[in-house]
Amino acid sequence: MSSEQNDLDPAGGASVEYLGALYNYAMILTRNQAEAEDLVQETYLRAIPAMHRLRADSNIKSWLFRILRNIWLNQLRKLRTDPHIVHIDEEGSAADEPIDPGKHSYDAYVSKLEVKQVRAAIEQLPIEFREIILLREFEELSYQEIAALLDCPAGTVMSRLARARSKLRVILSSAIAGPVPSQGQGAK
Amino acid sequence: MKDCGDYRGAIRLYLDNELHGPRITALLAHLEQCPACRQELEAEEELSCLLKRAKPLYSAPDSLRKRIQQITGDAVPDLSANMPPK
Repeated sequence: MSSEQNDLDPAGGASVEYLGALYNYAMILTRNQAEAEDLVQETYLRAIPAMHRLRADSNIKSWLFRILRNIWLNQLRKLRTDPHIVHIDEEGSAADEPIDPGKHSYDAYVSKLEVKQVRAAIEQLPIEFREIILLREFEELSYQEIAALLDCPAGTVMSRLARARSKLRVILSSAIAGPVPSQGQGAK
Repeated sequence: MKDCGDYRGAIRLYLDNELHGPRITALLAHLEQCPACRQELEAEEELSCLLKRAKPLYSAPDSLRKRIQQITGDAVPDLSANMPPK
């Protein structure tokens, strides 16, 4: 394993490089801080012993995302057979809050407000839309990488992404001053 | 001849770096002469910029970092890399 991407001794820094991304993905899937933390921890517990089996050209982030997603799906399956009430943090706790860039700055205030509005808008989306928005817009995975992760055709990624963006635009346009134009506006 | 509807999907592919070769040339040529599609491009860019400004949506709690650090034995990375833009 000679490449930079896969020079991944389990004790190396690269293995925590994706912690933030994994936590964001887990929060998007679960909308629950405690569940998200457990999901990330379980991902690391499963990933580390398997890291030595990765090929040199492996996409580590996509691989970690896949592990996390599989764990989550298995948990959902288990919940279906062992139903109980799942608590969802509607407001999130202080630990979820984006780091405050500066309380006395107007720009910082606007920025923080915007983050809250965007986060609230995304949280209103159905799970499959939240997930695809995160993977493309925030994690910048390619359509092919998303298709592999979600185990669906690239065409499905494109159409789901288009629908997710359209719905998100509608939600955001009513939430943020200076509305984002709706899809199709100005079309011939 | 293609109309604007045909280019709408291409605009999104272009912004997602998923449009290649002659299709880029064709789209750019169309944008040159179509204000409506330029407006659509700007609207799509605006949405993506707004989302990127909100990144990261969530910050991993320090307690989780410590738990993962214990699992991996890693040094805790620079938190500023995860901070939203000022």
